[in-house]
Amino acid sequence: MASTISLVGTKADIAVTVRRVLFGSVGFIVHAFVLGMFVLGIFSIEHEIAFVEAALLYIFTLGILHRFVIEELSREDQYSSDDLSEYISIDLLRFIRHPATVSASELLHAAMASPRGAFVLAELGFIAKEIQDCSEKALVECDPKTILESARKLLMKFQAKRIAAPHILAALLGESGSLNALLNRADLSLDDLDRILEWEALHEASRAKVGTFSPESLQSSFGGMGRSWVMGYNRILDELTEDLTMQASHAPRGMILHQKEAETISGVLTRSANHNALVLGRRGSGRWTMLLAYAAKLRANELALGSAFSRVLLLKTQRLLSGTDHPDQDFLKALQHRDAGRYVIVIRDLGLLLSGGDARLMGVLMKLLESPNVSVIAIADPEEYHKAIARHPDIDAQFERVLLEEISEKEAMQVLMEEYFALEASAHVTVPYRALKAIVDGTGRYVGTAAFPGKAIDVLREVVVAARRIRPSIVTEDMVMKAVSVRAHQDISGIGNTERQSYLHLSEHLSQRIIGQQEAIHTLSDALKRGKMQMGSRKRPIGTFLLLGSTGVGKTETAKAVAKIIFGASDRMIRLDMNEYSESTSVDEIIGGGTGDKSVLTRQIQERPSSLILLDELEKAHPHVLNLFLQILDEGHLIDSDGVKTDFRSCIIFATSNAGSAAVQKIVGAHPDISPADFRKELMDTIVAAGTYSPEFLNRFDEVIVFKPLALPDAVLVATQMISAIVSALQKEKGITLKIDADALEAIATKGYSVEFGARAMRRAIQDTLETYLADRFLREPPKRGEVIAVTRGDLKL
Amino acid sequence: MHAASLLRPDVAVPVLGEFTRWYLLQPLKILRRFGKYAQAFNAILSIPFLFRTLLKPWKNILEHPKGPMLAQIVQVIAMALVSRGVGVVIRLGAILLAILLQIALLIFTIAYLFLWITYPLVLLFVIGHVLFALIH
Repeated sequence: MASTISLVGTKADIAVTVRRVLFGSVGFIVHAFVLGMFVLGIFSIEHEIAFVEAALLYIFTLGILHRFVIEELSREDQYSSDDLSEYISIDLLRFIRHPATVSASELLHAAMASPRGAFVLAELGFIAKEIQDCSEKALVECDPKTILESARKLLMKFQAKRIAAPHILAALLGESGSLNALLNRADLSLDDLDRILEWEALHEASRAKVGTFSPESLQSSFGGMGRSWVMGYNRILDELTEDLTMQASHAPRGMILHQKEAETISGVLTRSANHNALVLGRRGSGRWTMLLAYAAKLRANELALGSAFSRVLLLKTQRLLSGTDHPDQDFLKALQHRDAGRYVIVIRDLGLLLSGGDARLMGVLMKLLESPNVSVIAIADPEEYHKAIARHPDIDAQFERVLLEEISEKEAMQVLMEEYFALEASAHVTVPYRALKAIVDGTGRYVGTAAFPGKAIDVLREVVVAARRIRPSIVTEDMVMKAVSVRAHQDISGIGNTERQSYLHLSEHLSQRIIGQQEAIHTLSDALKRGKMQMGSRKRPIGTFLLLGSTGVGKTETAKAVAKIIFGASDRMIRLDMNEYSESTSVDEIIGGGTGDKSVLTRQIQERPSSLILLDELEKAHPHVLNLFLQILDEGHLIDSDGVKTDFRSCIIFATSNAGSAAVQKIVGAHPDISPADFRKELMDTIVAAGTYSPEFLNRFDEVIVFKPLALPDAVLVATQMISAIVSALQKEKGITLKIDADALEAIATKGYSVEFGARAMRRAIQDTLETYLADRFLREPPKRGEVIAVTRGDLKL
Repeated sequence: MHAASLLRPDVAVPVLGEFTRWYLLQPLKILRRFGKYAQAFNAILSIPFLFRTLLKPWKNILEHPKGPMLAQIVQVIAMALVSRGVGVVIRLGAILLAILLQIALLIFTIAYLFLWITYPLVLLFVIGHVLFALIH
């Protein structure tokens, strides 16, 4: 027999019953009947006035009772008692059919029926049948008091006063809950469950409407009607600017980002001198929203203090540059008035104004910036600042720079939730929690050219529009991945089959391209697989490798091969020759020197986060440059000269070094049959002993891959591989079959191989021998399609 | 619980007690709400602010005069008079409207308070009146 709990006689139960009696369907019938009797009495019996009074009083009485039920009976104050049943909220109890004997199952059903519970389940991605099937067995022996006790413990965590549907669900799905298996099946963590519940609480709070005729609503609707009448009016001003008051009144009221920066701006604008602010931030970082929130707060303060309003005006820069004959005179005239209140001019594209305007307009701008009753807020991104604004030091000096840092992923998630609430009402689309999480994760990792929260909001709006066209209108993770892929300029649809196969067979694919380095290939492949699957919590690049070995053994070829296999093309590689970074000023080539130059490494990674970076001859780099790369290895990101954080977590980094090349010859010379493991150990010991790299430095890399010297048989294989490309090209383009004798092949390989330089000269050897021979032959006698050409050692004069 | 359970003394008495307490505290709430509405109306149309700026030019229309000096002087004086005249008229209208709003609010609040305080007596009176009407 399932255990039960009684909720009869609790405050919530009384409130629900009174509400049902007075304002339920039966109550309405009774009221209609009584009022009907009064109306009859008015028309048919004498003393009509009495019945009118009675009717009015009946209605007034109903109004009083309604207010009593809403304000007093339904009020849920902070409660402190041992009686668990008193903690149940009215919202949940409404859906309990038999309050006298409430079982665990009935608690669950009531939670699922409640709109708040339904919201949580929709966000978790569960359907009712799934839960019912799971709960049938799981809740049979479950004590409802245990569930309520667990739910009560969650009240403080979610700042709630009563146990509502979300808390019941959290208690059942939580760590020790009876339905915890459902959560695991849905691949959601307890953290995810907490986020959803926080989100639901926000959603519930956002639904609480302020009455249309409440004092607050009237104030925000009508503003201060008389106060703007004292401000200056000028036709030119109205043509050249747009009043932002209306926009500011619709500024987001929920989570306000960059509050500290908004306060800084407020402080700057009230200064007596240098009272202009330049808001610097990347596209999408929330500059405009912050500005609107500041304008809304400014207006609210002025309302509260009873002072005249400041006019917050957006300058129409294009209009100013092209629309008037004497923009300088007209604009200044319009702002000359020094009455109560002041102007805040917002310039959204200061860079455009500075690059498009002439000396007169610069003069106007300077006067504007120096004017005591006018403050200017300019908005720009770091690139625009360096290209256009910093080149006018006199104008730059008039501004106080306020840098907007990119918000965290957690804050972005909250902003996204609020944006979803705003879209929900009009779009009628469901965006599950997992889809929102996918948006934040995807844009965070793969879209480096814009900042949070803008880039995430863009994707959310796009997928909501797409979901409106389908039934049911639910945003899926696939839709999110597609939208993010477009912005990231690459297909990031999770571990798709192609990518999965690439990593799984990485070793085989590499072996086909890299000759004689099996040990190195296996070590590399295993490390890359681990990195991609993110064993442990990965906050660093997918893989970081130091490739050691003498020249011509395949280090660079390995990097190209990995770029081709993993990222789809050999040219998805950013190659940096550390010889060119041997000066201290070379740091600017990595993080930018404040010039807004697109060629620096950080800018390239921002545009293409999934790239392979090859650092050739690492030992040649200047120590300052080396430090930057070590920061990338340790932390997975780099902050450039513009203060922008670049994420390297989707990169693979290879560093090659010829350190120990001499030692390689020595070791192999002394022990020709040395095993790969012993060779590696001896080489590493030699390098460390020589002081070329410290053990701490070497440990920064995921793996140090040692390439052993090539032997002649390996060189023959290299030559064979290179010549195969020529054979295939001839077959495809000219229809000629080329056959090379084995001794010709060996001769070419011998020519292109040396112990010291490995197979570095192989390309040259093939050009000097085979390609030269073929060129001579084709010039003497043009080849015919279908011809078979056999090349011997004698032909090559070797 | 069943609707009939509401009539049980252990349920009905506390509910009635709570109702009585709530009913007796409501006049204070009504007065507080009146205060908030009065503040809101003042924020929308501020009588002190309108009086302070009564003689200021209407929206400070700025036009620079052209022509001979005398003509410029006349133009400026005329513009100022017109502008301030318009400002006075409109602001006085707004002040009147604001005063009317506040008075209406006060009347409404007093009436509402009066009704609330006298409601129990009125209720009894009306019940009696209806019964009398029915009997006769």
